[in-house]
Amino acid sequence: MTSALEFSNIEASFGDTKVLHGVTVGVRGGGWLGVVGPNGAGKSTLLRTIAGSISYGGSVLADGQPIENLSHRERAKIVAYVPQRPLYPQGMAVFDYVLLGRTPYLGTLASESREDVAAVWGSLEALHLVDFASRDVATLSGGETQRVSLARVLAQNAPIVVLDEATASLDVAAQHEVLELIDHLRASRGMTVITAIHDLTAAAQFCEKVMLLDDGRSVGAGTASEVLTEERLGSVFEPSIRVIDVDGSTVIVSLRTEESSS
Amino acid sequence: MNAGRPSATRLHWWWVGGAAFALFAAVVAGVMVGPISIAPIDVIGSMASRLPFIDVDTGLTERSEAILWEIRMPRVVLAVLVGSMLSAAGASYQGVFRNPLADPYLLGAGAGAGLGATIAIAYGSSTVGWIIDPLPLAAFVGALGGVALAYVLGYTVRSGRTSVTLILAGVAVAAFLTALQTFLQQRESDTLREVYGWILGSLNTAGWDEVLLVTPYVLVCLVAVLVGRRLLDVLSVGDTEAGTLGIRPGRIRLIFVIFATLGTAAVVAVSGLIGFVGIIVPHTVRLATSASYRVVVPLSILLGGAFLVVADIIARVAVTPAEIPIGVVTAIIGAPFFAVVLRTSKGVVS
Repeated sequence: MTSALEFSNIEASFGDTKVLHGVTVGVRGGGWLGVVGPNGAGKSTLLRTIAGSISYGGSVLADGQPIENLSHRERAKIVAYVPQRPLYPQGMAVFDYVLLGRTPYLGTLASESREDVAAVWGSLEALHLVDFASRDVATLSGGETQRVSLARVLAQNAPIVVLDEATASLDVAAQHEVLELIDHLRASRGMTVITAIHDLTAAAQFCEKVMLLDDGRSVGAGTASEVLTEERLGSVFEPSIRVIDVDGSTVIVSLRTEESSS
Repeated sequence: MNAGRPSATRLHWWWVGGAAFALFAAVVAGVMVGPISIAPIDVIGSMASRLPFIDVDTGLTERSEAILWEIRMPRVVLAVLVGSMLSAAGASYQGVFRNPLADPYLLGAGAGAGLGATIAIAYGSSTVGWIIDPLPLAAFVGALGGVALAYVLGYTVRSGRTSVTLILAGVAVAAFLTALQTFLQQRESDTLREVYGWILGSLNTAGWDEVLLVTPYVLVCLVAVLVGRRLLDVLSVGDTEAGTLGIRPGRIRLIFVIFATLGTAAVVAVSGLIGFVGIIVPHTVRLATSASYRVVVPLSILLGGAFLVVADIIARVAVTPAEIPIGVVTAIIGAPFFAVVLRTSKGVVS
């Protein structure tokens, strides 16, 4: 089951400050949309519209249906969300944390069924976390907690997955591993993935589609090679950005210039 | 390969069995102990005789039977109800506010009940002959009023309706109501002793009246918290994420606060402000077993009842024939016990 997602003319404000000025972008079912842009560009705000945790104008469409019309529970069956800094409650076992992903399938007063427990074990297995089931979720390393979050997403079994800076706090190797995992899950399960992502190189290498957001406006959406050009990145970030090719892969770096070093 | 594999964390039957046995043992001990001691075997025999189709000859005199069933048993049952309710309410508050220091009095239930009780004691002497005793009613209304005030205040804050604004509103309401209560208490100093005694808590009963009064409230509230306890785990990841998992955090929080407060108000009305139970019992359970509220809530209900019965035994016998206020006992034995639990546990209180 795959679901296409479309943001249609999204506007959002915090108080009197407008942070999104009519953003429109879509991604095919089973695709991967990366939202890039400077700090404060509105990436997280855009993703939080899908989570339903802020009020906004415009509409978010899942397979053409506006998700605003859905109840919390129905929405949770379609979209799973991991925030930038998830709260890992101290003392909570990994198993219990992943079990939270089953919430939309449980009646308000019901307790977990055998199928729910099996779904949790299946998710833990897919992310090589079976041995971690009884560990305290607050004592895990950065890479491990990201895998735990992904396991919860799998248990939630939603066709659309929204990850806000999934790899922000990880070292290079762990970041690469998590992104590969996400890509593997996307390909094998047909999940539609939407991520906010700071690392432009990672965005270029993993995301099928990239949107560059600047000051609440889309300044380009398309494949990485179309959007992440030196000219465009130079005007949005800083002029010293270089887009280079290393063994066929795109690498985006910021050079230290004479000017900035003096 | 995982088909049929059980949950990695669950309410093991031996946890429930152990806690239920602790509660039963505490109840038996609670009715045994007193100026006239009754052997445990006779207590159990007499209890069994009350079951249908069972007749045990205990050899207890009529007088001992009366002491057991009309004096000691109501008090012990009241201790169970109060201890269970305060522990369940404490666990609920800790869950919905994601705050380990939350207790049933956090949002002003304690201060409101204190003010209500003080008014009833100071100005209630003219109500002799009323059909209902004004003291529990005033405490009950005061507790509900305090929390309602905090909720209204916390939810009309412009900057946002978060659990933190609600806690701060509760702190403000509690401080205000406590100040009013202290003012009244100082003005009507001839009732000072009585007010002070009420605030420190007591399980003194006159037969089964108090038990019958609070049982419906406690049962309804305990059942509500028990059946919804899984939702406290969902709330523990924060409102934003809980919302994306398919629940409405604000609504769930309100429902838990309503039941926790209703039950707390009912038990406070008959027993005064017994402190510490709502904090130390859920935390002890959490440290000893699991942090999941699926486990914490049922075990806290069983062990909270047992804890308060034991505390009440100490309150009755430590300085006979006088009684220590039960609130003092729960703190004196509760605080060091909790310190030991904290030191010996591997986990960290969240």
